[in-house]
Amino acid sequence: MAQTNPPFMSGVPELLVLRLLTRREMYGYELVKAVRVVTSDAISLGEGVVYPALHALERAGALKARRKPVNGRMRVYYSVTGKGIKRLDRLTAEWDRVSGGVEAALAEPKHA
Amino acid sequence: MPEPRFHSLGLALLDGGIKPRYVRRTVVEIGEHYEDLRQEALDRGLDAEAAGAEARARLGSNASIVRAARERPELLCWSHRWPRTARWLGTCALFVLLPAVPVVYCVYRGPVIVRWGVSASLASLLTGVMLFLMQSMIA
Repeated sequence: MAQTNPPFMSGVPELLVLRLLTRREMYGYELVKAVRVVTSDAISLGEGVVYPALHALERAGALKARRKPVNGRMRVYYSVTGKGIKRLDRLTAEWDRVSGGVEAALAEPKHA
Repeated sequence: MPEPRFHSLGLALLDGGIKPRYVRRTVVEIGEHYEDLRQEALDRGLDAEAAGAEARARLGSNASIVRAARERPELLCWSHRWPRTARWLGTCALFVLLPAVPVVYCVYRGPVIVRWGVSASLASLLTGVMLFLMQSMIA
């Protein structure tokens, strides 16, 4: 499991969170696990630090949270709002632009 | 159930200037997350103590969680988000409050102050009259 994500990964966790939550609503633990699974452990979100990120996205109107009792425990489920979808589209376009640029640069033949 | 140590996380978040509503939510959600991680470790065959320690380690330190929350300005109390404005407003409020306190006190305690004032005035008047009469008698 990757312990830390390099600095150029800034913004990627947010992109993944929004993307995964468009599929179905999830609670924090589920979400962290899902990120690890879909990225084959290449990206791991800090388990405790995911909550400030979720709360900030909720505050920005990109996510909405609802409490749901499950087996005697209170779960907080997050889902994406319309504003979140727009934010995801913007982040995806940005990611495509950056990753396309990096790929093009790496495809250049190496010079001695 | 969240372990008592998450109480210290709550205090650290409050101390870091995070809004109380987000502090409460973070403590509750991290407590639930801790329980899931602990259960996951128990299912893998770890004993209760090792499972608890692993769960706590995976959540990260209180300092890292506070740092992550402080990086999100929208989660900060306004006094931590705009500290200069808060200091300026605090000073202004103090300048208004300081002279206002005795005035407000007198308005609320008006009847008592009037009663004491009238009593003191009457006593002074009576003493003055008596001294005047005595002076007149001597003269």
